[in-house]
Amino acid sequence: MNGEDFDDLALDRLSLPASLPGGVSRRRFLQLAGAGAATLTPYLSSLSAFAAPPVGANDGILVLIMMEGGNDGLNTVVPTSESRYYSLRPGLGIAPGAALSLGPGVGLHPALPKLKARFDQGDVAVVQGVGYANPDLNHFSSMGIWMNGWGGARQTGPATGWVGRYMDGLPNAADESLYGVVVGTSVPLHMVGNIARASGLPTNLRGAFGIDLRDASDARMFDALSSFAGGATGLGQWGDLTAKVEHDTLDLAQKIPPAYQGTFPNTNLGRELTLVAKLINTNLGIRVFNTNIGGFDTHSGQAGGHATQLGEIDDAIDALFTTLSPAWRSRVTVMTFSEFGRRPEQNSDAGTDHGTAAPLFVVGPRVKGGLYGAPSRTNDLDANGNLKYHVDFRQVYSTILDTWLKADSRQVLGYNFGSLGFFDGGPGGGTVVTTRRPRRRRKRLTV
Amino acid sequence: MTTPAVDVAHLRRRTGFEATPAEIANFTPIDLPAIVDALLDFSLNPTDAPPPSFGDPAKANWGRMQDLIKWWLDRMCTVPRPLQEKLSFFWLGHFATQVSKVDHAVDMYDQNHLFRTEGAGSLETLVQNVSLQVAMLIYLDNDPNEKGTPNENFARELMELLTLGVNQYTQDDVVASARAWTGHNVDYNVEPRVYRFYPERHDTDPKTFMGVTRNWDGPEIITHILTVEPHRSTAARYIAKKMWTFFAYPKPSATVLDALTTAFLDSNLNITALLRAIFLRPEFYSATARQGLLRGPVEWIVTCLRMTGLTAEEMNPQWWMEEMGQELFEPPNVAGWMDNAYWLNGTALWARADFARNVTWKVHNNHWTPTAGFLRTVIERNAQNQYVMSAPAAIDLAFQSFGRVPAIAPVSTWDRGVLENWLVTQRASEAAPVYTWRDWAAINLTTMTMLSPDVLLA
Repeated sequence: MNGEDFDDLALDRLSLPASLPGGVSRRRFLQLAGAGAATLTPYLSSLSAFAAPPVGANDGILVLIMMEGGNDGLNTVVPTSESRYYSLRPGLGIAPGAALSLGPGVGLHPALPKLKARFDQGDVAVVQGVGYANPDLNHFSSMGIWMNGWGGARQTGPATGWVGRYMDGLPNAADESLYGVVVGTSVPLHMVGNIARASGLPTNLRGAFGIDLRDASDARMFDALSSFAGGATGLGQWGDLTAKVEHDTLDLAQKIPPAYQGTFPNTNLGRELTLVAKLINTNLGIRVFNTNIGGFDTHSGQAGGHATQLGEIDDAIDALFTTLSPAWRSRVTVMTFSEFGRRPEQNSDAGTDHGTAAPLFVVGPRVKGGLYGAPSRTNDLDANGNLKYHVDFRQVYSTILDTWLKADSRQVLGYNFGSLGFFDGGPGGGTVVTTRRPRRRRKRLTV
Repeated sequence: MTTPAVDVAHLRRRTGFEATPAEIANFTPIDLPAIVDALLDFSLNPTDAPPPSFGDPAKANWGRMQDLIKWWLDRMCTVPRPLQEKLSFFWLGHFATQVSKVDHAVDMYDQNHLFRTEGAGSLETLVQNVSLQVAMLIYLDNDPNEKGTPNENFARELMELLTLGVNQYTQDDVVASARAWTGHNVDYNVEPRVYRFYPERHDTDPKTFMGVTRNWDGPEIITHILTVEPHRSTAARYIAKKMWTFFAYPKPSATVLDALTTAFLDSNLNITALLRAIFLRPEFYSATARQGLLRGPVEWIVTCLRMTGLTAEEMNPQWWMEEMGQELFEPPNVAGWMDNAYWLNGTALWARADFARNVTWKVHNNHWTPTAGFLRTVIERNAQNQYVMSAPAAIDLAFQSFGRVPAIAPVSTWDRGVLENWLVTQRASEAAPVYTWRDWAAINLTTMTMLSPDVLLA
């Protein structure tokens, strides 16, 4: 791969459309719309872009929390018995007595008491030492690798993400824009498939355009704006896609207002995860949610900011599960991820620079709580002085895909990564679906 | 030699924020190189000074930032050579710096002023100056980067994002560069805080950067990257591609990129030379270019304001910008903003629709201020009982007032059909005579024009 292609890849990775224009199916519009404006009238009533089938009693929902900036794994799941950890981090290390014990030599950051309580209930899998071979220390390249998630021998190219490829396999994926939802203002790569594309929802609805149909003139205007999608605009792929997304957005405006009612926490992530819970309770057919929280690029003055961000996550996960109606709780699993961990040693600014492997959390009533993987040790570093990984991040994905989302992880990831076995039940009342572990261990995974 | 109006319109749209028929007609009698030179003549623009509130000690930082955002948007709307502002906006995305981390409005203004004054000159001068301003020193943690425990953040992004692109350096280069930048810090003991070099914090030991071992100092790293091959050519190509993507369309061919890179190198990395090469390429006027970009929020907001005669000062667009996905002085991360599909999602479109509606109402209710465009025309005609306008004529006028002049840049036939169909139905629903000052068809047509795929395209 030459520098230019790589540059495209890195810049495109974090947010981009599926392979356009094929990525957005226009066939339904074209079938319905006919050739000219005169045939438009019946179009809107027969068009239902957001008709994702409801989530069934034994279907799983995945909620992702993207921790942007590179979360410091060592201060999230603290190796309380490693003297080298404390000598590398004279001001920044978390004292054994302050950490919330998960077992001998392992403790959670003190800002995570609610997660600790869920761990004690057996609802939290702490997957340690997660990373990948030949780590990339750039935010965008590394996040792109996590989002892309392809482990096959040949790259599919940078244009799709692992959740997107999962959604590709759902019925009528090209037209159902509600299989995946991003709370926020852009759709990240992992939510983009070859034909499937997630929808973005705002954290606040205000008086969003297209909601109130009581005024007949307004309703006619919304209808007409939706109708731009009824035929080829003649303005090229971006003109057509604009029309299509406008249509879908106006359609969505009729479906989501109830989820925005009631009270919300004050933090961004708390608000996002509460909204996720309310959208799940509404059952619009959404299978995967993406939420995000920034502030983990802690190059300087890490201690206070990191505690604040972790505390926000702790409260937000709690808000999610307490807002979910009981009927839905056992169908929801949360997974956290970040592009990389940080250097084992602190820098001159009481912060930490970009590093490699880190732990992540999988949380939910059907999760089999405990410690998984193996911790990255501060006394066993790689040639660059970084933490070694012990679990490929795609093993986490494959466990979720096969067991929780009932997909074929080999298709989505291009390789059978096997299962880490961190579920003790399927979604709802369903039983665990097990997959065979790979027979032979591959020497190296192509990234 | 004359230049086709369609090309002038496209060029003015991409180098500015939409043009009126008169602004297009002004340029059609001269040839393209002369037009490009005219657009690059920034001496016609007024010099800039910080917004007045910067001198008001009672005004807190947050308020100053609000003022700075509105001040910049209004400058974009009004200066005769908007390319200077659009280029500054490109550089903000390139040297992405978030006020949420930098914290002081005055540092963001200083950087913005640098983009305006040095943004079209030498690339090396620009990179050198940006790197030693307080905003960048704080944002990428060169402050304080000290001997013994170097901070790699700026050193990495200088190569990865600011000059060379991915995969053009090693981790060892990052470490060496980080050490070279030690001691280039911020002095917090003076007000306002300033860049200062602290020799005692600087690592004077030999360091090996890009295969050369010596006592490197930070600015020498930039000089090396931008003057020594093969890095110089890599940087020229990286910047040329990014700038073409911003002004023309993503993923240019090797032919285009080779030509731009050569022009940029031949000029000793002079940014005006690169811009001129971009605007003179035939591919810049191709169908791929015309349909290759969507307007991002800033570009679309300024277009809406400029074409209706409204100001940012009265509209407060910053209230909508976060949800649209583009806040001035707050790029989403160190890589700046993406393009095209980045702007297409429910959240962002709702925010745009909400803004379009607010613009419409402001135009409608501004009885006594000289706003422009379709809606004002209709209101004035209605007032004189001259309200009989056919549906196609009304649609033409509405689009023309947002820069889509029928004879120059026709609106999509499909979109016109949709609007005509709607307008006939809408008028039929209103009891005649309906065309009073509160003319729902004209009001909603104004909003719909701003939200049409035609006007959302760049």
